[in-house]
Amino acid sequence: MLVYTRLKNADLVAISAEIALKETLGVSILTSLSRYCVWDIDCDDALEPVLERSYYLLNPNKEAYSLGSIPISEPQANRHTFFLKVAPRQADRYADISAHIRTQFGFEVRAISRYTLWQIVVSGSDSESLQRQVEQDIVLSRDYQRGLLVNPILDEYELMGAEAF
Amino acid sequence: MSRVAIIQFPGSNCERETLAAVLAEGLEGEIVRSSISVSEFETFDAYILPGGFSYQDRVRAGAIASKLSLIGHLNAASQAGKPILGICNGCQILAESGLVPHIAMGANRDGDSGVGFICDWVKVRVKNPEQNVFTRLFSSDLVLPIPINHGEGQFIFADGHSYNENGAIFQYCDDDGVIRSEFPYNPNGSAHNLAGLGNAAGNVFAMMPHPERASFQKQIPDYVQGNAMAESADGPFSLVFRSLKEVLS
Repeated sequence: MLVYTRLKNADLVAISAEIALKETLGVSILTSLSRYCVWDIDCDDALEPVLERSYYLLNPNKEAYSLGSIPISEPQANRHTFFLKVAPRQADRYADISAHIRTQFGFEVRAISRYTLWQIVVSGSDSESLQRQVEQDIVLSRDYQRGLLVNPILDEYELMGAEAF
Repeated sequence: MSRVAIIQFPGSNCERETLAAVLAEGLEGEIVRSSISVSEFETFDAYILPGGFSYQDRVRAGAIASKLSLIGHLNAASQAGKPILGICNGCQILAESGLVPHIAMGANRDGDSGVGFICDWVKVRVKNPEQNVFTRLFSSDLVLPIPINHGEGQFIFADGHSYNENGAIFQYCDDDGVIRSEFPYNPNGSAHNLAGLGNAAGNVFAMMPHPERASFQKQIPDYVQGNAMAESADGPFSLVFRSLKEVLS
């Protein structure tokens, strides 16, 4: 089960990233940038009690969640939405969270992983060339002049069009 | 007199201690903002990026600071052979910007498990000290105490790359100076136990431990054993700033 969590109020990380990309790196095609933290949880039981009554996976005072999918707005002319999945190469197994869930809620979690999902909205007409530009100018941080969201030494990533959702 | 710029980013928090360590060696130092103009920037002879949490570590530690126009100025200064030292968050900024190439700073780990933020004293040894402007006065025989204070201090190399075996490096070790890869001697899982390393030209050095917090004996707590310079009023890492002074003189 995928759990998409998102801050209810301003996401300062996303705002700072957007400002750095637009104003410091001069990425003019970028229209908006937002961020989800996604838990990928392998279990047979319903997760709502864990999400609503514990603070193991999110802080319900500050974060909203949706299960399985996220809302995607209608396509607009000259706008393209891409999703960027970023996961650390050295993944954590979150064994402590599994143990807490077993103890408090009485069911087994077979595996937990977590990644960041960026929603990148850009302006332009040609989806294929935009995707290349997004990857070069927004995604891959190779030096001080281009890219930000992925450090290729630390992170694995997948850049997808909105149709993937 | 040579002038050293200590560059304050939004979220830096070690600039004053770093300035004190610079001034104690008789260098002229000044804390400057990361928005400094290029004309003012160029009036300095050396640059130090201090520790802290620039831009609150948003996206990744050092990531947003590494995209500032200042980094272009630092890159030009590096090409011109001016000394540049990155400490802790400054090290992360140098890694993210590529001024020390082919490395990234990963989260602290012990094997397969994250160990979170660590604030503690560790021991390091230096190798090939003569190869970098910031280490030239160190002796490779010494085991030196120094504090660390970070959550992302693991040196990770890009595929196909490693450190220059002939270059200057600091390596985490045990009290006897043995390079042991296990936690807590290697407190963050760094490749080759690296605590700091320089560029090929020897004028840039990136280190995760805090030399400005081990530059005076009064900073070193009594419980820290194996203080190789205990008889001196100077702390062991005053040599970082003294090495710089010798180069700039």
